[in-house]
Parts: sequence; C-alpha cells; structure tokens
Amino acid sequence: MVNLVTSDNESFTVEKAVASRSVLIKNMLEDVGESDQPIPLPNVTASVLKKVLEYCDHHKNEPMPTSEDLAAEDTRKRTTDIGEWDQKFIQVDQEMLFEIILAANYLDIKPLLDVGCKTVANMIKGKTPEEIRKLFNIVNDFTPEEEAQIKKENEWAEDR
Amino acid sequence: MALAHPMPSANSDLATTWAFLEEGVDHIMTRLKEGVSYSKYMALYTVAYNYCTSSRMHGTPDPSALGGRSGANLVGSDLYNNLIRYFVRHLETLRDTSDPLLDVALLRYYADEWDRYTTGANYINRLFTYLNRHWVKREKDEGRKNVYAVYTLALVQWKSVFFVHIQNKNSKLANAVLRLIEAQRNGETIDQSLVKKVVDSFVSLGLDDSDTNKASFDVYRTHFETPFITATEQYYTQESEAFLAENSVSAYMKRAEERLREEEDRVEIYLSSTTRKTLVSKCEHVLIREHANTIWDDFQNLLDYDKDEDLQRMYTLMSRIPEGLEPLRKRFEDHVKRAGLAAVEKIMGEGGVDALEPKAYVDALLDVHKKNEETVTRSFRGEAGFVASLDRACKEFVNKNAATGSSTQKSPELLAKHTDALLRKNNKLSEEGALEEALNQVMTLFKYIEDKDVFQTFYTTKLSKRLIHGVSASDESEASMISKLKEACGFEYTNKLQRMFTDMSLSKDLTDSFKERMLQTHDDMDINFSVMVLGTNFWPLNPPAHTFTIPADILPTYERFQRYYQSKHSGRKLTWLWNYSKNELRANYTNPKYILMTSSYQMAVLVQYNNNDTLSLDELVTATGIGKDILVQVLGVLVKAKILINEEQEQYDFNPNFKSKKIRVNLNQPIKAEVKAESTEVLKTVDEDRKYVIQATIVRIMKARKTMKNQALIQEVIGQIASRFNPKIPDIKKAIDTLLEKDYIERADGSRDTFNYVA
Amino acid sequence: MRASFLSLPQELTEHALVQAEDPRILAAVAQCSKYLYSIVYSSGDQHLWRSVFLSIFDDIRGDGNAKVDWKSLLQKRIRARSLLESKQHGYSTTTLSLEERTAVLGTLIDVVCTASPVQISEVDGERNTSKNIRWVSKFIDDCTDVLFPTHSDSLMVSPATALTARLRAYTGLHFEAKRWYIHEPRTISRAFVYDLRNYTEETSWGPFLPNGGGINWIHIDHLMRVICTNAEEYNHSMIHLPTGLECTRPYSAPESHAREPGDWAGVEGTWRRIICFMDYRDLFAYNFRNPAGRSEDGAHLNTNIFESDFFGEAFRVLEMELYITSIGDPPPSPSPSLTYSDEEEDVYSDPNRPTIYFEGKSDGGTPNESRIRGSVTAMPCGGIQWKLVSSYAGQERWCSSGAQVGGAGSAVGVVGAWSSVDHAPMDPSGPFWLWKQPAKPDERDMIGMHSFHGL
Repeated sequence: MVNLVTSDNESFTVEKAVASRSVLIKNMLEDVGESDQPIPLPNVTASVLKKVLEYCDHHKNEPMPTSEDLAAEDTRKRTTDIGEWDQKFIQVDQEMLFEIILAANYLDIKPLLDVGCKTVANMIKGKTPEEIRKLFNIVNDFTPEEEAQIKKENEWAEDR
Repeated sequence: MALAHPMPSANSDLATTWAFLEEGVDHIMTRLKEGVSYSKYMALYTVAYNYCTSSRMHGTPDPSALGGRSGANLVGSDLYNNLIRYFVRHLETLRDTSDPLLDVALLRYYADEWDRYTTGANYINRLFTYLNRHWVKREKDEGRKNVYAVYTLALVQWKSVFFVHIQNKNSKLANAVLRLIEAQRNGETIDQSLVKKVVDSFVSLGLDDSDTNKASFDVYRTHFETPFITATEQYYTQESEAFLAENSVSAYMKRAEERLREEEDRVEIYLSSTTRKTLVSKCEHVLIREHANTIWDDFQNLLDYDKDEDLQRMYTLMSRIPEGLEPLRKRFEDHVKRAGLAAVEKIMGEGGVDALEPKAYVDALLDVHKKNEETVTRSFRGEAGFVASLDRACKEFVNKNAATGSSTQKSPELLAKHTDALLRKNNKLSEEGALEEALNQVMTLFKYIEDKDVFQTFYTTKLSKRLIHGVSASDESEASMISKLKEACGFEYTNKLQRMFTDMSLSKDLTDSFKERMLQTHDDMDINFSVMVLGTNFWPLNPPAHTFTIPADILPTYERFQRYYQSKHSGRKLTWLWNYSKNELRANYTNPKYILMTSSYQMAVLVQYNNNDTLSLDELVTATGIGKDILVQVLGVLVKAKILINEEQEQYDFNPNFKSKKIRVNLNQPIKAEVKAESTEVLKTVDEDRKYVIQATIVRIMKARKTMKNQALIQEVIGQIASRFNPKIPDIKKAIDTLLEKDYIERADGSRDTFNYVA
Repeated sequence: MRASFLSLPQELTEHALVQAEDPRILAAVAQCSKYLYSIVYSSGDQHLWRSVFLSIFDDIRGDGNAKVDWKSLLQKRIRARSLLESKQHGYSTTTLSLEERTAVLGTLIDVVCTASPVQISEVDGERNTSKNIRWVSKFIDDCTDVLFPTHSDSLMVSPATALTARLRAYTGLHFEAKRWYIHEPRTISRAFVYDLRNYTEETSWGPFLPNGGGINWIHIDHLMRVICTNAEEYNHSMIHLPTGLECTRPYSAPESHAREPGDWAGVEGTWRRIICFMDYRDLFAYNFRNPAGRSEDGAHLNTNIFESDFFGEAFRVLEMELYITSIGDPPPSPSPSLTYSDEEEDVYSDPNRPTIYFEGKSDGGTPNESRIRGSVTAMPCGGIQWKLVSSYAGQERWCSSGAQVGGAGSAVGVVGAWSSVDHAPMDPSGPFWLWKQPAKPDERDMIGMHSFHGL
C-alpha cells in the first residue's frame, strides 16, 4: 500500500497498482525503493486526487502504455472515441475537468490526460468563436478591425 | 520537512528555482548512497514541473498579440542550460582526478565513476521528465540538433568533457583495455568484469544524433574496435609464425582451433556482439589463410597415415576461409585415384587380364572406394565437394586402370561377370543378407561405370544363361538386382530383363498345359518334356548356325508341341534352339543305370547307338545332320567321358563298360569354340546397339527441333546418351551420314552444317 | 485560482486542440481572443500545426528533418476538401472551374503521393494504415461525380486532364466503376494505345512525355483502361489487377518487407505480367491503311475498326522471376547488340535511389522461356521508370518501357508499353502491366494460358 498526502494535507492509502498508474509515482518507487514514508503531492488537492484515484482504480489492471507506444503515437491510428466508463467519469463541471487535466499532467497519467483533453476538444468542435467564448467565459479583446482581419485570415477553414 | 532549502513556491524565478534544484541534483549525483526521501524526490520533481508550466499559468496573453514570439518556450532552455553547466563542472573534477592514473588504476576509477554517474543521471532524467516530455521533444520536432533528453545529455557531456579528454592522451583508456586483453591472451588472469564495464561504456557513448533510440557504434568502433583488431592481428601474426617454426602442422592446427574458440568466447564475455564477425574473420585470416599453403602441404601426409582426427581438424579450419577447401578436394581426388590404380596394379598377375578373377578385381575396387568413402564421412563430414572428388576419382580408376588398358568396356564386363557369379546357385554367400549386401556393392561400382550399355549386354547374356540352365540362386535376388538397376538407369534399361522373367513364367504354364493336353490325347507319350518359349527381341540367343536332323525318338513330341503351340498362337513362328537344349538319357545297358545329362547334339549322337555298336564319322554326320567340324568336337567330349571309344580313325564305338562315380553324369560341357566366342559376340552386340541408339536419338531430336546445326546436334546427342555410354563423335557423324543416306534428314539448302528433318 | 480553459499551460491547450483531429477548430479558437490567437498563429514554432497535421495525415518528413511548412500545407489540403464538398450535395453537383479543378486534383494527388510506406509490425504482423489514403478515399467516395465527370467534354484535353488521368490511375476506377465500359472511353483508349505514333525514341517507347518531361499520365490512364477492360471482359475474376489507393502506397506490394537492403524498388521476386496485343493485320491496317490518312500526318485516326463486332485484342499472362545484378553501375553488357547506353542519358541520379539493374526469366506457360534484363531508375520528376528487354534463345526480341503507378514498391506495379527491340518502322507495340506476386505460390492468383483470337 502507498500513502499519498495532498497539498491540503489529506492522506490517501491506496494499492500500489492504483498509485502506479501515475508514471511519476511508479518511477519514484522504482528509483527510491518502497518504504512506508508518505508521498507528498504538493500540486494536488484532496478533492481532485479523490477523483483521479477513482480513475486509476478503475484502470489498475490495464497494461501500462510502453515507451514504444508513446513514440509511435504520431503514426498510429488514435482512438478518437472515449470509452463508456471514462465518458461517465469525465462528466464533471468545467472547473473539475480542468483540475483533472492539470493533475493528470502533473502525475503523468497519459490516458487520463487524453480523456480530459478530448473532452475539451469535443466541447469546442463545431462551435463558432462566439459560442466558444461563451463556453469558457473568454473575453473578446479584439478591436472590430482586428476581428475582421482575423476572420479573413481564417477563411481557409470556411465551408463555401 | 528536513530539507536544506525550503521548497520554492510555484512562481519562483530561475535563480531561486535552480538553487533548489542544483542542491538536489548534486545530492543525487554525488551522495546517492545517503538515499533520497520521497518528499525530496517529489519536491525536486514538482519544482522542475512548476517552473516549466509557470509562465502560462495565469492566462496572460502575449502583449504583442498579433505577432511576435511568446516568451513561453524559453523556460525549458533555462533549466536545460543550467543542467549542462552542472554536468560540465561535475565532470571537470573527475577529469582532474583521473589525470595521473594509468592502466588498471585508471580503468578502476573510470568504471566506478561510470557506474555512479549513469545511475545518478537516470534519476535526474526522471526528475526532469516534464522537461523531456515537452520542451526537449518540441525542440527536436522543430529540427534542432544537439538537444537531448536529460539522460542522453549527461552521456554527451561525459563523452566530450571526460572521455575524449582521456582518450586524447594517447588513447590512454583504450590502450589500458588492450593491455589487459593481451595479458589474458598470454595466460594471465584478469578482471574481466572491469573490461566489460569499460567496453560497455564505449557502446553507450555512441549516440545517434538523428535518432537517440538507435544505438550507434561509432565511438566503440573508432576508440576500441579498430585498435583492438589491429592489436589482434599483430599478436597472432607473431604467435603463429613463432609456433609453426617450432611445431608440427598438426600441433599448430590444434593451437589455432583453441585460439579461435578463445576469441569467440571473448566476444561473448566482454565485447559487443557486433565485433564478432570482424574479429573472427581477422583471426581466421591471420591463423589460417596466412598459413594455408603450409597446412595444405601437410594434407597428403595425413591421408597417407590415416590421421583421422587431424584430417577432421584441417577440414574444419579450412572450411572457415574462402576457397580453403578447394585445394584439399583436388588433392584428395588425386589421392583416391592413385590408390585405385595401385590396387588394380597389385592384383594383376602374370596371366594378364584374362586370368583376372572378376571377384578379385571388384573387391580391389570396392576396398579403395570404401576406405575413402569412410574418410569423407568421418573426416570431411560428408561435405558435397569431397563427395564429388571421391566420385570423380572413382570414375577414373573404375573405368581405366591396369586391367582395362584403354578399353572402357573391360570394367563393365568384369563387373557383370562378378554379378553373375553372385547370382548363381553355387555362390558361397551363405549368410542371410550377405548376397543383398554384395549386390549393393555391385551397384556402388555400377554408378561409376561409363559404358552402362556394355554392362547391360553382358548382364542380359548371363541372366539368360542362368534362366535357361536354371542355375539362378533365387528369384528374389534376381528381382532385387533388377530393381536396383531400374532405380539407377530407368525403366528402359531393365525392360528386357523383366520380359525375360515373364517369358520364363509363361513357359512354365505352357509346359504344364501342354502336358495336360497330352495326357488327354496321347497317353502313350513316354518322354518327359519341358519347353521355354522365349521372345526373340528380349533374349540374347542365336539360332543354331548349322544343320541338325531331329532324331526320330523325339520327333513325335516335337511335332505335337509344334501343332499345339500353333493352335494356341497361330501366326507365331517357333525357332528351335537346339544349341541351347539339353536332355537326360537313361543308360539301360549299365549297372547302375546312369543318367546322362547331354546337349541335344550329344543326344542325337548317342541315340544312334540304340541300334548300333560302331559308327563311322560319316555315318554319324548323315544320321545327325551335324556338320563334320562341329560333330568332331561333340564326339570329342563323349570320347573324353569314355561313353564312346575312338580307337580307330574316324570310327566311334559304343563302350558297354562305362563307369562313373556319380549316377548323374553331366556331359553337357560347353565346347571351347563357344566360350571364346561369347565375349566377342557380346561386344559386337554392344556396338550394333550403340549404332542404333545413336541413330534413334538423332531422329528423335530432329523430329522435335526440325532444324539444327551440326555442332548443336552432336552436343545434344551426347547429352542425351551420356547416362548409358560416352558416344564417340566419329560414331555420331557416321550415324548422321547413314540418316542422310536413308533420307531421314537432309542438309539445309546451301548449308554444309545445318540439317532439316524430313517428315 | 480556479482552473479554467485559459489557465491551462500552453502545451495542454495545444494538446486539447490536437485531440479534436479537426483543423477547423484552430480557426474558431484563434478568433476568440488575443491569447488564443497567439497560441494558434504566433507560438514561435510549428508544434501545434505539425501535431494537428499529423493527427490527420501521414508524416512527410522521411529520414532527414526536411523543413516543412506544416501550416500552409494543412490549410491547402483543408481548403481543397471544403471546395470539393461544396460542389457535391447529394446528387446535384456543380462543376469546378478549371482553376479550382487543377488545385483540388493537385492537392489530392499530393496527398496520395505522400502516403506513408507500408510497414509490417514485428510485434503483431499487422500492416500500418495510412491516414492519407483514408482521407483521400473518403473524398473520392463522396465526390466521385465531381472528380470524374462522365460527360464527354471532360475528355477534352485541358491542363487538368493529365491530373484527372493521374488520379484515376491511382484510384483504379477504370476497373471498379462499370460506367467505364461504355463504348466511347474504351475506343478512345484503344485508339490511343495502339496508335504507333505515340511510341518514339522521344517518349522512351513508353508512357513518357518528350524531353524528360516525366510520366505521361494520360497515356498510363489509357493503358490501364485497355488492360482492365480486357481483363474484365475475358476472364472475369481469374486475374486480380492490383488497383486502388491502398495499392499505390510505397512498399504495398507483396514481400516488400522482406526486400534486401539496396533494393529500393522491390525488384527481386516473382512478378506477373499481362501483355495485350492486336492482331498484327488489324494493327497495320489501323495505323497505315487508315481511311483518315497516313499515320505520319498527325491527324486523328479513324477508329471504326475498334467498333467492329469482330474486333478483339489478345492478352497473355506471364510470370517472371527477377533478381538484381548491380546497383548504381550498369553491369557489363551481355550482348554488344544492345548496351545499356540509353540509360546513361539520365544524368540525374538520386543518391538514395541509384539505378538498379536486374535479370531474370519469364515463363508464360509456353515452351519459349525467355530471359529478361532491365533497369529501374528514379526520374527527376519523382517517378520511377522501368525498362525491360526479353530475349528468346539468346536473341533479344522485345523491350518494355513503363512507369511505376504509386510509390516505390507499390502493389499496383508498373504500367507501360512493349515494342520490338529494333524499333523498326511498322513494328508492333501494345500495353503491359507488371505487378508483384507473393513468394508462396499458393497465395497467388490462379492463371492458365490466356490467349485469344488466333494466338
């Protein structure tokens, strides 16, 4: 068992297989060796870690992606589809979604990072700039002239 | 937390961040033994991570929004450059420490530091994972050279700051390794793991700039492999020359074999497997190729004294170098040929070839073959090239030797005669399977016989005698021999032989059914009669060359059979071969009543004495219809056997006091003229057959090709016939002329040497 | 601070945009705010554009780190797609302008030609797929009518004709879409490939443009149509001509993964070859007794002969076994009558693709087994040129000149024309197609002797 301590000082005791979905933790256990010291996670809060561990627990028995898989990422066909369980899992509010993405990035959990980013991509897909601004609460800081110019610059993507 | 510095906050500047990281990096690189706590590990990772992600955490857009470069990507290079500076400084210390060291001391230091440094660098690499994953990857994708993942970066620095520095001092490091290897070659015990560690580092330092996943052996090759191979060459050149000067070739070969094995083991134990090929082929060159002439020259010596083990070793060594075996194969061929010729020479008595026993001849040939075949199998591992040499040599001496002179027909004749002796009833091979084995050996030689048609003709003649006279050892052995010949030469070769057996069994049936019929119609027949009806085309038999009056005693039987046969097969012509017939007569005038086994001619003479006691030569000629000159010879045998008495000129008297030790008296000895004629007769048949075969082959070829040039035609004919005999070119030309005369082929218009097929 | 879209580090924002696998998302996001604009258009490097490109298309960098303008290449391809889609709505289509047509065809051909080479995974034996081929296939399925209009004026020569012909050669649509059997195109193609004026020294006696102008795709298109329609007409399913976009990928031919180093063209192994020919009397009549005039005149020949019910071509299927004799330098000439000197005109040489010289034997099930020698050369235009000479009983008799359809080692193989070695006036000529076979004989198509009309 591994003892994880969040930035808000909450402690989680989980199976090694679960914690090791994080390549960061997996590498550290390999390098430093196993002991009963607590593992501090200064960049993750308890509410987010809870969610992340839920993901890790569900996927704990799957094979870890190998370094060859990661290297071949660009040439292989990716799966655009998010699995059914993952889809449900990622149905969270926007803030939690981005927190999960950041935590997955920090803990180096590539599949979870991809699920999060794909979800964001799917949210944006097919939307107009205005709709996207609304979605993410983005302030339009262009002048009308700039806006016209930028619109022209993006004509390559227009349906005619 | 027990940290030397407190962990900097997420948005710290480079100086603060690096101060914290450097302390950790240095701890790992130099004091890893003291251990690293989880919290220290996590702190270092987090600080590096935060620094890499920090500048964009606030979502501040670049001030110059519509152009220009965001400063975001520079953060990675800050950390990266600091790492470089750290590694350089760290390695400079190692460099200074190593400067005074030499040989084993240097190797020890180098290997220990290598272990420590690479272990530490692996840690650092993982702590800076985020830098590798984003900044380094991105720089490389953009095509920037000389940007590496952190671990590779550490090796790159090791190479340029430390390794190259030592090597620049007269290849101090590689030479130290080479000296250890030389010591080991000289028989000293060395620390192999030390060599392995240093050599491995040479391999690890080979970094492919375009693809860090691919190992590049350039450092290993330049700094180690090339000087190593040169040193090896020098070492073994010297050693092999010195050794050969004082030792025999046999001893040298043993030594070379050991050395080669040692070097292969060396690769296994502490070199890169990529060196195997270069090293082994260099050693093979120095140890074998360079002394090949000396080694080859010892070959005959080993053959002469049957030194199997050394022969085997020479074969193994020579098979390792290109073209190494060819001279051995050539020498072996000569050796076998000489042995074969000598063996025949030895058995040639004063009587010349006519007095030569076929068995002695065949055994002599077989002995030579057997001995050398064993050598090929045992010492040369049955290698195809040596098998071919053996075959070539055997072909030579089997066909041409002291017994045959220049004739290629003598060997097949002797072999056929030997085979005949084996297949006869009175052969002395009592043991089970011994006959079969002897026949297999015949086939061994048969394979080498050039004029297979000569063998065939002799064999046919001998077989017909065995069958007619009923002296064959067994049908089983006969069938076995025929199937061997069939396997070797095909259906056509044995077709006639098989037909002969068919005739034999048909004849038996015919005799039986004839007897049965006679029992029904002529129960008065008091002669025991059996007949063989043999197809003219399949049997090498000639009708009697002289006249013969069928004696009255057998005339009714003769006529009855003639009628019976015609009724069954009308239109077939029966020619009675009195010259091959035999009879048994019972002498009622003697006590005991002897059974006289005779030829038909003898019988014709003897039955005359049923009514006469004395007959003159002329009277006998008239009575038997046999020409005088032959009859004299027939009578000669009977007189010699004391059946008849010839006291007065040309007068033959009945001998009532005939005595014999045996009840069955065999008078049926071939007369001299027949024996002598046989061989010539057979060879004449061969020549006739050959003419026919050549002509038939030409016609067959021309029919398919329609038009052919002279030269091409001759080549084709030779090619098609070679398996039976070697046709002579004048014979082919003669055959072409014959066919031109007979209008089977014609010369093409206006051409001397092109022929057309005439349909 | 609350986590939000804007709070992501740049690399994660980019990662999310790449995951969409739709480049148009970039245009939409860039128009939201200055920060997002800067991520899309002024990040200082090409990371984002390259990643989006590679999420849809195959990598085009090859071995070296060739400089690629990922952004404009991607935009060009997306623009072509939008343009084409806009013309085809269900069954109603609008015609493309010549300019648009040229641009769209050029882009599609570029995508086909930059498809990734076939690789067989050492782990699971699976063959890698090509994103390019998937992308183009979808397009051609959706927009066939716009790309290959059926009305006859499309067969008029225009700058786009060669491009249309080339794309059709890649897709192999002569074969799949039944409408190409309609009489007119078949007659036009026959008229072209059997017009002996199209075979000259200038065109290397094959489907090439004069003066080193590269491959004549119109010629290739006609050759493929003639062979395809013949194969379909005469033997239905017995011969599988390797066509289709997947077959154009580099090293898609059987056994390519096992090729020797240096054999960049996948020469060694077993090949199958179809040869078509006209009865020589017909060929002579068409070319030299043509009612429209003598063939030297340059006029269109009268094509009535092909419309006759009695007209037919013969074709033959042969099997060849090839092996390399030399790479880079021509081997010593086997016969003084014909040296390799004609190849030496090509001063151009690609260091990665030196000319390969090969030999072999051809066996058509006839007793006349023939010897083959030849060469494969990379052309300056990027095409691959094959030359073969076959000899019977030591006499060199026929030569063949053709172009690889697709990348090196493509399954489609080589399409071209055969002619006599002497190239005497009035010597015959006709189409051939050469493609690679699996090493195991039982995996090959069944063939018998196929010959028709008096052969």
